[in-house]
Amino acid sequence: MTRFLAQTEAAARPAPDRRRGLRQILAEDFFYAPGATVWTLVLVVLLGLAAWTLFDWAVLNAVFGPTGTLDASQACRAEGAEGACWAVIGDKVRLILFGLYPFDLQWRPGLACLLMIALYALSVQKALWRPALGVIWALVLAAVLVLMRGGVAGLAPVGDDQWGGLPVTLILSTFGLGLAFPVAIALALARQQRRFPMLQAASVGLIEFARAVPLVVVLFMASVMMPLFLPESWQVSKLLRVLIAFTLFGAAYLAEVIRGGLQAIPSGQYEAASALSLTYAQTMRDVILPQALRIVIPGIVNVFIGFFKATAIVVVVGIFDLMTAAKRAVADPLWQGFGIEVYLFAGLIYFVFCFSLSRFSARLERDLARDRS
Amino acid sequence: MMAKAPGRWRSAAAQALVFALVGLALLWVFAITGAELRSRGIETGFAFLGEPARTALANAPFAFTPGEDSNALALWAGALNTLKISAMVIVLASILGLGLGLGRLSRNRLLRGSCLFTIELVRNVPVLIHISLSYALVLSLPAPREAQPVLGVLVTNRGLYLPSPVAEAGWLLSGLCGLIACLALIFLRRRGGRWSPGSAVMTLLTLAAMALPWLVLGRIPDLSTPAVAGFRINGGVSISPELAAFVIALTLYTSTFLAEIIRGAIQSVPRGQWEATMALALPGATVRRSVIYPQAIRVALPAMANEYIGVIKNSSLAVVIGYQEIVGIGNTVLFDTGQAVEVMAVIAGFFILVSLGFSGLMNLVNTRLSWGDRR
Repeated sequence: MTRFLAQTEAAARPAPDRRRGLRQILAEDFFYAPGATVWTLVLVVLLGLAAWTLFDWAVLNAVFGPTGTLDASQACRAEGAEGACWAVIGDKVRLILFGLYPFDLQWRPGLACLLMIALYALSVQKALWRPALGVIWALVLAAVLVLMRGGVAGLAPVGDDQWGGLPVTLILSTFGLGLAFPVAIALALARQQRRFPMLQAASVGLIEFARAVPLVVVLFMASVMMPLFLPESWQVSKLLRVLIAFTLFGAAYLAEVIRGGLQAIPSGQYEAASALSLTYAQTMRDVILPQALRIVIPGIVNVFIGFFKATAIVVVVGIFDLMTAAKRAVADPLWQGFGIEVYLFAGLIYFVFCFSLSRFSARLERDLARDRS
Repeated sequence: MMAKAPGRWRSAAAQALVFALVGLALLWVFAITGAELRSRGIETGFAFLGEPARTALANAPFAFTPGEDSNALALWAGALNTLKISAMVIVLASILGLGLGLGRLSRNRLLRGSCLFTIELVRNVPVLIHISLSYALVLSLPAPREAQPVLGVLVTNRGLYLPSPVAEAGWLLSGLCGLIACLALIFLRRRGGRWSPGSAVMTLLTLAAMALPWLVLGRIPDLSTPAVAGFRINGGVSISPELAAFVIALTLYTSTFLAEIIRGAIQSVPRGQWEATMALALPGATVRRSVIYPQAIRVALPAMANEYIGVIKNSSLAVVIGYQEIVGIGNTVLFDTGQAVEVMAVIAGFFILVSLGFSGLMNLVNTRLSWGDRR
């Protein structure tokens, strides 16, 4: 009889080598089929050309500052200066970043910006997603206001008509979102409940109106119409009017995201709360909202990114944000015609914020999906 | 939630109270607004719509004479412009977005990487930066006198000039032949007989049919090509620099969002579907056309409809580079007449109408496409 059972223990084989050589990578990922080969070759040529053109324009032929006897602006306009004129950024960087804020006091908006960036960094820490985060937000926003406005603690007062640049962009999006959040929760709850149909109808009407009309129109309404609606003694600054419009507009979008979270909560949670004879307020505060808000945090971050990009639209009503500051920088006769460089610089600032937030949001979505499964 | 008899009365009373308060607040606002407007000498109402417009329009889609044509006609011109740029962007962005979305799923790493890079770079920057950048780029193009035509196309800082067909029988015949061929091919395909043409074959045959009259005629019908004459450019059709810059920027921006929707939709088709087609040994093109895409489009459509409505709303941003669509013209009318509330109401009404109409249309398409509860 042949014995089929193994008598000796087989030695463990090493895991298959998953590293691929360069040749294999090229064959498997770039040249696996005739069509793929064509794509790869065409793209290599196109990307190479694009990269060279860009490098030639942005580095090799670029003007970074005054050359010889010419000042910076003349150097950019000199015969043969075909490349980018980065000198305009060097000359206008303070205007683009801080607008018309008094020059000697610009450490204050700078500090305010850092505070708000730190606030974002804190808010995306999972360990801090507790009601205490609301307190941190309130404290930081108060500090930002004090820094920007001055008038207390020996800081010279600066009116909000002098604020500008990056801090205004950050203030509009951060304050806008912070103020919109409670409004959005109220709107979402009003839309979800069935007990007060008229309240529900009002909430649906407001949300759908704000979502159907472009932000530009809402901003025009805030800057042109709002002064007509309020009595003389209630007139507020343009920045505040735009912030109010932003808050209401953002609240409508945020409310829909939050409503999605409310709908995702299984009805057993409501029934369990009702079996414990919790009141509506207790049910929402202690059972439903803590779960619902957690689910929709990636959605909230996405709304915030949209918000952040949308602040650029305030340029049409003349609020001095980052976008407007960039536009002003090019309006200087000395630097007219160098819009491409300035807009690229401003675009880079927006990109850094939006890209890091969107990376974070994507990671969060993955984490939450994993937690649930 | 729980409707008990006494609770219902209390809730009705509470609602009545709330709405009485809201009503009072509204009355108060109206009283203030009325007084404010009277003190500025502005008459409320929509009578201004019938009055002649004071300011000329920059990009009117039809002949418009200020001082003769009414404000209502000016706003109508703006509405047409809004719809025109939205339609252009929707069509172009869908094509580009489809390309980027499919490229993102390619096995070719270089293609996949370039698409990902483009998408991330474009969508994380505000659309207004794209618009301003694109406008600055267009304005830095060569002046008409220095521009070199490429295949009859002139690209200048005063706009884009394309050759256009001259009204002639040759073009008409060509169009007719193409139409007949196209209809015949669609009929063949519908009947699904032994020979049913694919999309690529249909396109080629239609184009061939369009060229047929040229063979008979012995020449290509006349084209009007743009030519520089002094400071002007004659012939062809022109696209203004504002329109070109805006459509390019918004198309690029929108296409990245569409690409992500399309990619997500294709990835949402369950793996088992791919595996089933492999088990049936179906060829790749058939798999995509008859199994994967029909399922993906049903997932993608609602999100794409939202994106399209976003395009219509974003078209209002053309106001920053001075292309006059409804918001831009509305502003002009507003500053001419001072009728802030009414003009804003007209603009808001227009957008609500278009948004509602569009989502209604998309719902219709959705129900036509939906499989019901068949699965």
